[in-house]
Amino acid sequence: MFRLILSYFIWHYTEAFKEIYILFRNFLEFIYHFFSIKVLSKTLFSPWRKLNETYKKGWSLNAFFETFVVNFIMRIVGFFVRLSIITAGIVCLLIMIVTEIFIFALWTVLPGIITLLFISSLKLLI
Amino acid sequence: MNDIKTKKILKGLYEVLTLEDLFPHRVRRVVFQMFGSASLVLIIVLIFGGEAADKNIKGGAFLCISITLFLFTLEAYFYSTVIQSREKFFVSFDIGELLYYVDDNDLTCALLFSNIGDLGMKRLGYSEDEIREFLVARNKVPFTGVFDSVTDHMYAEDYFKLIYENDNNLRDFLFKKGVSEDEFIGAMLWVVKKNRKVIEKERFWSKDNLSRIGGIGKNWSYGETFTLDRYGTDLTESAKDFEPVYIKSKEKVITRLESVLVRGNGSNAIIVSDDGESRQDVVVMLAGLISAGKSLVHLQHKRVFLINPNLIIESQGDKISFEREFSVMLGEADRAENVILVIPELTSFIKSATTIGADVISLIAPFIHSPNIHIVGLDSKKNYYDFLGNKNILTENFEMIATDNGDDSSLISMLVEEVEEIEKVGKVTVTYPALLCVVESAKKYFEESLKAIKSKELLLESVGLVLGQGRRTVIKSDVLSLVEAETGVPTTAPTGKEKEILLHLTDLLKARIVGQDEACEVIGDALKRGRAGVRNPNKPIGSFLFLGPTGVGKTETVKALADTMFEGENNISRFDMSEFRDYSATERLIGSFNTDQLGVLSLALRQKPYGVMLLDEFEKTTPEVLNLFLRIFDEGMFTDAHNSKINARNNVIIATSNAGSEIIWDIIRNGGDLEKEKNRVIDTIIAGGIFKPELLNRFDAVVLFHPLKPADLEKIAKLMMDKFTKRMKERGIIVHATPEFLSYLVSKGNDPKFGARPMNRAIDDDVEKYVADRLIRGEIAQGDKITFEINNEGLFHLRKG
Repeated sequence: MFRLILSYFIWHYTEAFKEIYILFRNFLEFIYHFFSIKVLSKTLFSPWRKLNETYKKGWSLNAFFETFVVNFIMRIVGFFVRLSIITAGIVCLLIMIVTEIFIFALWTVLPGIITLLFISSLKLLI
Repeated sequence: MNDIKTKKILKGLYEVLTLEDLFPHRVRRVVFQMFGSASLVLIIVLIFGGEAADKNIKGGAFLCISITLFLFTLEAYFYSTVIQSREKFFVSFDIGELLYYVDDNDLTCALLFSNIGDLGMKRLGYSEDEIREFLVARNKVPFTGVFDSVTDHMYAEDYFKLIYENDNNLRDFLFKKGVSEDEFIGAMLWVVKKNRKVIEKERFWSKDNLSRIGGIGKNWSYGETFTLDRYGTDLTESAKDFEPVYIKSKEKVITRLESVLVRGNGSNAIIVSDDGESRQDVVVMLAGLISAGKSLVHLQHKRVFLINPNLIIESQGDKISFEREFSVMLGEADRAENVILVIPELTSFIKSATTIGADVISLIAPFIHSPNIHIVGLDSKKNYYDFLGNKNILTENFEMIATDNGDDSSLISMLVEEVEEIEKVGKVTVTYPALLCVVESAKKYFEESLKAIKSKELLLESVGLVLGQGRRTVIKSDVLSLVEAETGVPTTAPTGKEKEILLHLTDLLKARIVGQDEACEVIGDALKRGRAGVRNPNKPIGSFLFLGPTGVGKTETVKALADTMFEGENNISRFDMSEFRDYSATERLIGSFNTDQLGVLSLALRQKPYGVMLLDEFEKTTPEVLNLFLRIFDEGMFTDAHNSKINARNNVIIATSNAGSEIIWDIIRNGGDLEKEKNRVIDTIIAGGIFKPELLNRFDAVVLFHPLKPADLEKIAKLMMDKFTKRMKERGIIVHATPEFLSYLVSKGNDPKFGARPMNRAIDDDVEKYVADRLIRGEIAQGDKITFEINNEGLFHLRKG
């Protein structure tokens, strides 16, 4: 039993910190990929779902402007939708970073918190 | 305390195993969930209860939270150690758990009493009683010192191997039920992997699990592929639901494919392999890597699309519609900018399109240099070197990547997943040997089908068969019986009448074939080897060349064999090879792609996968056909014009020829021994250019048929008359022939050049015709008794009574 408790505490203050770091790295990567931040940033000004019209052959001001407007709208729609997702992603990343710092701090004192809560509960109940 | 616990083998694991012993993970999880839920409820009550909240509620909440957090830390410690143990420690957690409970260093006992051992042995078809009896009766094996040499991580596979190799009693116990080492290890690993999967699933925060969750807006930057969606499967999407098995041996090929695909314009590839599965495995695994975010950065977000080329051709039908649809599909994929287009069986696709007048290569050509689309063709090595390799546009723009034939590990893993689903629904257990048998049978007996599809079919059908019989366990013999019923090829050990026939096959043949003992012996031996399962499984059951003059029993031997072993002469696939002597001979045998005709040889082997194939007058066919048979004798199979593999491995192939008759006659006339002069006969045939030495070498045996002696002819005359007598008896007429009459038949039918043929004719003319005349005239009727005899003038007549 003593070996178990000792082994646990060694793990809690060594390996566990590495594990928490890896865990948050996984979550940060997940958020980065989930919100497709890289892909959406690279294609921020691309038309929405590649929906763009090809300029017709020959010279017609009307046709040119029609195509230009359609393509412009597609790019504007694409820009705003992508921007909103990128923003949401960045907010989530920031929240995750703050949480990570908080969890690191909490983990350090967690054995103390558990003991404290347990003793307090006994005091309140008995 | 025993030796093993004190050894280094449990280093790093001993403490967590103690925790597991005191308070197991599955109990901790339940308690954690209970206290976790209680904490949540109490926190809500505290928040909304405000000042009014009772002291006891506060105390309860604190207690629940402290216990929840305590259990949380234990679980974190547990998961962390379990995952670390898989590579960093000497043994993984699951094997450590087995070692923790070892008594007197008896690893076998600890294994069989554990959850892994219990479920593993059930997978091998053992009942609890059988295991208990074995454990009571066996001599304990102390595995002392077996871990002394362990310096690195010992994988679960090696641990089970160690037990198998060190415990003779266990080996004998498994051997009695026909369980091999691979089956034992495989069944145990199945349980270990299943347990590990449960832990993996619980760890939702792992990189693997998180990467399986799709993202938002990945497709917004890529185009839609409506047409492609209709004709293809997105392997990257499928990989999210079903993770492909990563086959280590394919690593190099995949790395090569990745580097080809990212190198810029014209980054296309053709993956070639001998078997269909291997090449497809490569693209499926690439899709798996992309889906799990483990591929090269430039390939991330790509979609691997496996198209169904036949569907495009069949749904469009004519040249114009096909070309339009195919171009639209390629155009969409190009505009989408994230498609890796996989075309399976590229040669067949190109040739099929040619039949409706379309040219696939010129349709692909405009997209070959596009940086937005990658095209990956799949094909066999043979097709690549015979066909694709001759098309400059393909060789210049497609990198050829060869891959070796895969092992069955990916297929077995896929079937394991299937089995687990089937077992849940059907409340049935499939044993591991049955599962392996499914894969083995799909390979061995259904060469023309895709292994993966046929394996799945066999698995489902076996389960259906067992459930239909009111049983709950699918064992190996169930699969074998099913295969036997489907193919007609015997798969189980011979029993009853068949066993008796096999044991006396040579004698039975000798009783029917007069004067050709050697032929009867070599055929009898080949059949015995075939049914006992000791022959080479990659060749026909036997391949023989019968050489000898006309009428000495070559064809009769084949008929006798079919009658005795293959349920009658109907199971002979007979080819008169003198009909295959023109330029179209090969095409007629293996079919034609252009005319969509099936070959007669392919058809015969499909219809009679188990039987005798007779190739009469073998020397008269073309050299191309002889080469085709050379391959069949060598490999037991061939590929027909439609690219289907045709299996001849369950046939006895007998070629007959009159070549060398003259020299056989010379030897006999000069009183020589045909056996001793066999090489001279064969050399003469080779010198005459009739058969090449490499072809003759491929036969299991070249059998020389002796010209018939007068004594042989007498026996044959008796046999023939017996046959006739039997036929007449069925019509209610009793026939008898005197010895003098038999001698008369021999004298009439004695023409050494034609063997027994003239005698056959004598029976036709003098016996059958004579009786037929009298039957029609009404001189003989049912119930009569007739005797053939010779009168004083030496002429035969028929006497009633």
